[in-house]
Amino acid sequence: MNGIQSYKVIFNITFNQIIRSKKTILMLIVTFLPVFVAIYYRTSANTDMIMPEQALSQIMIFFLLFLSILVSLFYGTALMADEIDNRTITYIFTRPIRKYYVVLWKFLSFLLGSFIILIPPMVLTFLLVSTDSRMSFDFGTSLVLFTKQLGIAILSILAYGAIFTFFGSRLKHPMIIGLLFAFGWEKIILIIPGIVRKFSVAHYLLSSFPKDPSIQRAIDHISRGADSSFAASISIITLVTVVFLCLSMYTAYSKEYAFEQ
Amino acid sequence: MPIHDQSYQHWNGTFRKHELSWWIIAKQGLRVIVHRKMLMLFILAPAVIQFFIYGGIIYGVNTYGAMLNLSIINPKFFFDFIMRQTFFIALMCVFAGSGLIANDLRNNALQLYFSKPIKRLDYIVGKLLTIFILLGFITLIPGILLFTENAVISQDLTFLIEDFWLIGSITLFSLIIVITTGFMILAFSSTTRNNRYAAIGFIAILIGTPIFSGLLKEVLNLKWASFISYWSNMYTVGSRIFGLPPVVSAFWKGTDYWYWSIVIILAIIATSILVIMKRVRGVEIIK
Amino acid sequence: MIPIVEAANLSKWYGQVIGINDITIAIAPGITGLLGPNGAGKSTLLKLMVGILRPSKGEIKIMGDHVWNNIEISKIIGYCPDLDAFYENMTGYNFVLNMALLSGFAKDESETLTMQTIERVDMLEQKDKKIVSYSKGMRQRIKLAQAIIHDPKILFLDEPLSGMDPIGRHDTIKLIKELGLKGKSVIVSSHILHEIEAMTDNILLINNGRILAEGNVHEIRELIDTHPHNVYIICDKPRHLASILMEFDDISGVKINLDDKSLIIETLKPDEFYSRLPKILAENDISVENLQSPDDNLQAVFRYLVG
Repeated sequence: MNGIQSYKVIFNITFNQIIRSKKTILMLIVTFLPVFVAIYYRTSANTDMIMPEQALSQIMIFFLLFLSILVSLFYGTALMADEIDNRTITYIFTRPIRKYYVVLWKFLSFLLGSFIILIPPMVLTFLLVSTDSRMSFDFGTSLVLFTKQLGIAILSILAYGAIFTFFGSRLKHPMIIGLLFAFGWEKIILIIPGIVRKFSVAHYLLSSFPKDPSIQRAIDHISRGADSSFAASISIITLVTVVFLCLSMYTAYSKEYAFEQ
Repeated sequence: MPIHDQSYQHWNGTFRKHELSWWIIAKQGLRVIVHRKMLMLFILAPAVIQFFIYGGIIYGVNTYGAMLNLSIINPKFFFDFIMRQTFFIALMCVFAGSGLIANDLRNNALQLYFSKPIKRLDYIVGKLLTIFILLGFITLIPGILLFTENAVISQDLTFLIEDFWLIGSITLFSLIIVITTGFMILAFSSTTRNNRYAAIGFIAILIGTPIFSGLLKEVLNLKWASFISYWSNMYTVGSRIFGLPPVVSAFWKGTDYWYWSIVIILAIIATSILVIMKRVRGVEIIK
Repeated sequence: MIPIVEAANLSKWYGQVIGINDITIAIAPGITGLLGPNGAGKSTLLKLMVGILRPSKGEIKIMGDHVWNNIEISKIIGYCPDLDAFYENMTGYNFVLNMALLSGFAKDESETLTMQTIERVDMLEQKDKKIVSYSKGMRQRIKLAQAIIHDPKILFLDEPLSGMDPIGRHDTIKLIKELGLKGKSVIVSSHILHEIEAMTDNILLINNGRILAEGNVHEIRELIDTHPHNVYIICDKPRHLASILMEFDDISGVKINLDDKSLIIETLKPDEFYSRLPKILAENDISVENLQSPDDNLQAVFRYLVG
């Protein structure tokens, strides 16, 4: 009997649920909204618009602080919560597969699905705006900057995905807690002075953003100061991802899912 | 006959349709929701606390306002209160509203409902009433209570004589928010069997549209971008209802075409009604 | 013989509600019927056996090993839950195939097994349709298919006949009996007493989370002293037979129905009664047209013990 084969099945089932769902079409429309903005930006005769590097920064912040969270919330909470709500977890947990690996492989499929949904529109937006003739940077510099931003977005999906996966596997109402966390705590705490904002994932994501004047203005609009170092930010984000993923795996291993009859 | 037949006896009366079947549905919906502790803890309690804070401000201003030369109990005060309560409206819709129809779809309960002598309209009105009442408890009722408090504890009748119209503004603006948001969450709830997806879609509109609107204004400098924002439209209409100056905020930078906001709000309600009417039916067609 | 399932002081509660209340059982290999009214604890007990639930107190073992988070046990058991839960957008074929793959079979082998199992549960025609379009009976068959696809040694079936048409029920009972003959152990829960009777004589009767009786249904019936056995006889001289039988101490009552010349005799010692009856009939020249015991069955056991 082949163990890896079994986990690939978990991966495939979850990935198909993500990609083939009608809701993913709606999600793609939402993630492609910035692409339409970028198309309008490139084709419009309006001379009152901001410079391309600032436009790109604003859009990337939108991807980072809204769309990546929305995608993570949508699919991350559903990873385990859908199996529990639909009661299909019974079939999986009575097979000879380790429960914590089920969570891990589901998380991997979530990552792949989220990347497919989020990264192409980011790349398209970048290509559309960075090739504008008014761009201050050359394409190479823009590409380096974008690659770093893309990396931060990937980290964002990882971290928030792990957090929401934990919510989905542990809590009875993962959505409302997830919403309170993502659009309550994470937003409000950034504008509170002092060290309190260091207790948010968004702070470290913003701190990891490449330090560029075009981006700084956008960041200052949202946060009172994204002043943690790059190394510390990456470490904290990675730690958060690992901790919450481990918590999710442990929850699946130890929790019994007793369904209401 | 001395010994009466105790066996089953057929009732020979006339069956009547219950005139208030929508109220039965609403009552049951409220009963189920109100028993949830999450609701009390995360939504109602903070909303009530905020109400008491505003009530405290009214008391403070009326008692010590003359000494401190404070006169902040004006239309903007009540308008701000209602706008601040919209955070709890969003939470209430997510928690209580997202499952109103979604859970019935999930449990195949629509067939049960429509096998009884109730119409589709009764069902929809019942569900709408459930969410309207819950949202009304967060906006309309506390707003009216605050107005009443100020009217009652004012030093004279000036407030009541000059600002009596505020009660109408509070009622109208609260109803606009309650009805529009209520219709919207019910529409989302009717589109899916999973209340989680209904909640996400709803939040994408409530939180996403202001953020996207901000992006359009910043990047493309579009004057009409504020009409994309759900709350911007509400703010514009509310400002008008409360007689406040047109919206010119650093964040929104909106134009004062308030009638466009009304058109958008009506369009949201109309679209929601269409979606609900299409989705709520006794038979599900599986392709 | 090693019991396939052993429970020692097993209890399970959900908050303040006791699901299983301090039970100690040892289930032998073979087919065992798990009976009880609604809310008795049947499903809870089955879930404890397959490791979906963890005991609140006590322990439960399958083939001598603890169940919770034990992959080795998962390899040898198959579970058909009572819940109507599926990946609705999957076809029946893909669902069973995925379950075979999850059991660890290679792709080719899984495909072969899937076709064989689907044929066995008579779902070949509907295998490529989405489960969301299946009737209740079809869903039940597919559920059964995923439980048996990996040829488990022990099967746990929670209300497997629910929603099936008479032919489906007949085929499923036949399948279960075949599995029993092949040496598999099956624990099957049901409300439908005569169908359990058709499968097995070994029962586990549960009510309010407690075991009321376990073992052979006839032996259990013998032991229920508080309820005399009823014997129904149609003969040509019912009054005469009644008067003779009333002389014996173990006869607690006789009811005569003159319309069809029948007697219902209540006896506390059925074995003794049956031993003496032929002699009485011969000596008194009484012809018997019909003789049966209407309550030497599961329904009577159920009724007398559960109430």
